[in-house]
Amino acid sequence: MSQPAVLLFDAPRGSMKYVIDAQHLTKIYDAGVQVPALRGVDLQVEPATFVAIMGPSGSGKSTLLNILGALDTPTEGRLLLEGTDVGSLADDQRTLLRRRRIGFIFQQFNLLPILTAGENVALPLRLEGLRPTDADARAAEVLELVGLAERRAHLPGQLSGGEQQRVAIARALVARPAIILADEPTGNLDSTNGDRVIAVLRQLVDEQRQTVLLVTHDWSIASRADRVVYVRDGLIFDDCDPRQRPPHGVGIVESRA
Amino acid sequence: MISWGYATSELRRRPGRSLLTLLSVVIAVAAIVAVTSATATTRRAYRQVFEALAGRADLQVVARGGGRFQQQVAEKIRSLPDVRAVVPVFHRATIIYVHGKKAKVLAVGIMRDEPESLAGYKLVKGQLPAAADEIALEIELATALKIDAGDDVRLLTSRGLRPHKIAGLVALENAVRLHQGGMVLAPVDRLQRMFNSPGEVDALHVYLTKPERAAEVIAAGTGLLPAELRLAVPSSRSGLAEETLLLTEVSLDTVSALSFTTAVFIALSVFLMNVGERRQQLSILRAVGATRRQIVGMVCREALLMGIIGTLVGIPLGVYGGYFLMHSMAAILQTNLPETPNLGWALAVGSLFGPLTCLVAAWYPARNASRVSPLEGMRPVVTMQPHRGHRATTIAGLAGVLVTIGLTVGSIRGDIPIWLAVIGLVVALVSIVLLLPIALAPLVKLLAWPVRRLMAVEGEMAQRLVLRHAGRSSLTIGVLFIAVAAGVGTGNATFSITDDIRSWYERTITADFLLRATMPDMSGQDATSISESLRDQLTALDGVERIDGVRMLRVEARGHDAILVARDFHLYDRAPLDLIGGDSVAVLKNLNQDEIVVGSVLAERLGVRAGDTLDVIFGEKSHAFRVAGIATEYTFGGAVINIDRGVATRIFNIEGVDSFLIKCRPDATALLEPKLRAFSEENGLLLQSFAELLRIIDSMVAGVTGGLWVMLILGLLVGALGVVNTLTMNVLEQTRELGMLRAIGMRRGQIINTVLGQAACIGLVGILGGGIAGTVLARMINICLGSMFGHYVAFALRPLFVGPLLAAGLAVVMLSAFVPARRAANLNPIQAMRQN
Repeated sequence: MSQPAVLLFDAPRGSMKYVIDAQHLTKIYDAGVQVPALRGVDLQVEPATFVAIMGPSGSGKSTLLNILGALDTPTEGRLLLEGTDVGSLADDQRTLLRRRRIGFIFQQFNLLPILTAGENVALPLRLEGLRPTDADARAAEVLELVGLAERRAHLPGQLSGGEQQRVAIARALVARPAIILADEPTGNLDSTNGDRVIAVLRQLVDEQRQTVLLVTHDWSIASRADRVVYVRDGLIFDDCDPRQRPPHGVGIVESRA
Repeated sequence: MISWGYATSELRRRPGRSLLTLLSVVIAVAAIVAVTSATATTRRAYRQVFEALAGRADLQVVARGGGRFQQQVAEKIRSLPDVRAVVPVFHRATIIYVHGKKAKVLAVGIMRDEPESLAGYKLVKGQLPAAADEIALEIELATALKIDAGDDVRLLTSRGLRPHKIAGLVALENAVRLHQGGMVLAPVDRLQRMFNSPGEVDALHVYLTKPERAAEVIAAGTGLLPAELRLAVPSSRSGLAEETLLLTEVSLDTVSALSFTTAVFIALSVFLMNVGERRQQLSILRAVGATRRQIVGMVCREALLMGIIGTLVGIPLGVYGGYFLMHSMAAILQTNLPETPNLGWALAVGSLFGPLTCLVAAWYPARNASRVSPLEGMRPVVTMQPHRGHRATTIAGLAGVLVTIGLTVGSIRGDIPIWLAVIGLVVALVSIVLLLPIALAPLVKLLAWPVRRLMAVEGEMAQRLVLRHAGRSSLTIGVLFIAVAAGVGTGNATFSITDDIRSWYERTITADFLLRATMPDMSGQDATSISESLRDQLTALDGVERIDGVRMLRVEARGHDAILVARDFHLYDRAPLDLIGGDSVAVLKNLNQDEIVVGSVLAERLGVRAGDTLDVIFGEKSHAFRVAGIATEYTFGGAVINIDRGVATRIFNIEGVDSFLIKCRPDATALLEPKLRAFSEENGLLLQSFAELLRIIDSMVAGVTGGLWVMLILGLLVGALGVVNTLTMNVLEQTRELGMLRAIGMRRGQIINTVLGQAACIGLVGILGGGIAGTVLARMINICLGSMFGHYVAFALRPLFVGPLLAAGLAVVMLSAFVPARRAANLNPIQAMRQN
């Protein structure tokens, strides 16, 4: 098996205006009856932007995030990630795209209990074929970034919820992806740990020039983004700068929180 | 209250998991029923044969040592109080000729006016023989020979081939036949004359009006009989037959024990997985108020339901499999087994095994699951504790090893019965599986080390996933381990024995042709004697160099039954025996000077060594012989005493021969063979060339090895199903993690590699470990056989057998893993990550 000595991930060719360009995305689930989850979403995201996606339960937020992360395919519509038409890619190509250009952070952490924190973080690099020593070194760097350098050898079961989520963030960052997709990453955390996670994501956008899309119900988190997209009934209901105003649909209590 | 309803809905809602669990139970129950019915049927067949020979009498009169005696003593026994009937027993193995065809038969003497003499036979056509030239034939034999009542046949007697008419056809109520073929019935007095034994019988069967008064009758009757006769309760088998069948019995015990252990492992493994997979769900139940007892009760109800359904499906499959195994065993043992298998015991064992094993197998993991705190159980990540060591299982495993050593040493030394060595075998295998959890991690790492560069991250993941549930992995490995260890062990031992038999035959039979009346009977019945006068006619044939006459008789030595083989040893330069130590020229000289050579098994049983004195009893005669040497012997279970025929004739007053060993002059073999064939046809004898004998032995060996391969393939198939089950359950349990791996960039191919890697870990440890254990087992069997056969059977590991077997095992495992691997690769990552 070939083992590149350095990280050789596909970089976008030339300059592009949008890192994400979603055109009229539609998703209909067929579970006996047809349930539309997305009804024609258009969303363009520029590089180095922190986008918060809000909306009530069942509005289609997670479906949108899954499609944007090439985990799911739209029933209709077109998705360009860094200029690549995701719809034209075969399954393995989509997998490589996820591995190299997208980082995922889940509410349930989704760490492998059989691997230590360091091994969990190094996993995407090992899947890419990097030497274990190179992968471990890079994993150590990223764990340092999220403040968990000393917990590298611990198994997930030996870490707190906040620590597990930071390990998950480190895993999402380790391949230096262009896009980080986070589905309610603070949902299982207390406010202190939640704040730390958002601070790390903010730092990635500001310092590493990465693009973050984050699904949240929490206005106090969304308000720290550059842009808030409010989804309702499978459509983008509002798209605004949170520093100017909360999106239409977010309650007064939520917006003051 | 968590009711039966919850248990059934649990089964319905997870059809995949339920079906896999059910499949395992079905396999386990089917294996138990199949093996139990096949072994029980084989056992029953053998018991019935020997019961048929010994009769169903309350008492019997036999000569000490097994010779014939005059039936007039029957009158003395008949005069005793409480004696209802006394029936003379007279059997001779012979040959029937019809329409140019011949068949081996057992001629049985009957008394038309004595109901007890006819017990077990049912007249289905014609009448019982009355006239001097009439016989009755067993209907199956008549059908096979295409003859009917009223037809004419010829029967080989001591007076040559004699014409007979078939008066009637009989069916055997006990439809069991050994290799002699069918049965021919004739009045006992007529049969005695046909075989030159007027008034002589093999035994007298005594029937009592009050069977409970047997002891009094024995006491009264013993005083009336001459010293050489014995009145006693008949054993269901003769001692000689028991010796002959010992190896078969031990083999059947081993097969049953191994299949039972494998079935228990499969059941345990599947319920460990089944309950482990629902850890979170059971914790939620605990959190909402279910007590530990309710959790255990719910899982046990579900297991009981599974056990009952699995048993209902597994039993018919097992019955079918039992027929298949039975036919294999019949081929191996060269025996016709009854068409009706012995299902009673198998059904009872299978019916109890399914539900009970499921209950026990589910109880342990359910109890463990109920003890996990609800909060801990509901966590999305399973807490991975550092290895704490599996103290209880390790101690049990080490204790098992000690028990195994004790049982093995005891069996080898002869201090305990050989069947306890079978228990030792099972304990050994269970102990190894108990020790596996602590040995698994180093073993997996050791095996992975040579290919670590090729394995990449998938290989590492596979190792971790296998080690994550060391107990469960150990059980699956255990199934493979047992299948392979049993295969390698019994296979190697089989090849050692067959090689030893070949070598023995080549050294013992130093002739080119064997001429005899019929095949020797394993129960020690006399073969038809051939007239001594035929020797002169044979000697007159051009090309004959030497004719060795052989006579075989049942005798007794120190209370053990044995066969006295009387041969013309004086014709040889050196003893034509497979001697264990000693010089064959010196031994031959001693044989010609009234000494004997004792078969190795008999010598071991009696504790006899060269130079000792041994009393041999034949009928009323007894003689003390000096033992000139010990020889390897395979006929009659090794219970053989070799003597010069001249010496035997002088001391025991025997007549005639059972067979001639004909040695041709160099280059005259081809010329002589047609003459000998014509001679044997003319005199109604069987002619076999030495090459033909070797072919027969080869075909028997092929039958044994064929049966062995059948068992190996079945074992590997059961092991493969275990692997499919384990890996599919692993994939089900790892669904969320596999989904996550797909999400973060693991390709389908890498997922497949990860699952195949787990199969490789399980397969390599189970199969290589089984190979090593099988080699040790083969050596142990070899040592135990040494004590059974009374001589050392040369041991050699056969790479051409073991290598392909291990490779085939691994290939089966990897192929079995492909289905769950594909399933894992095709998981939808989003749905997979939603699954708890």
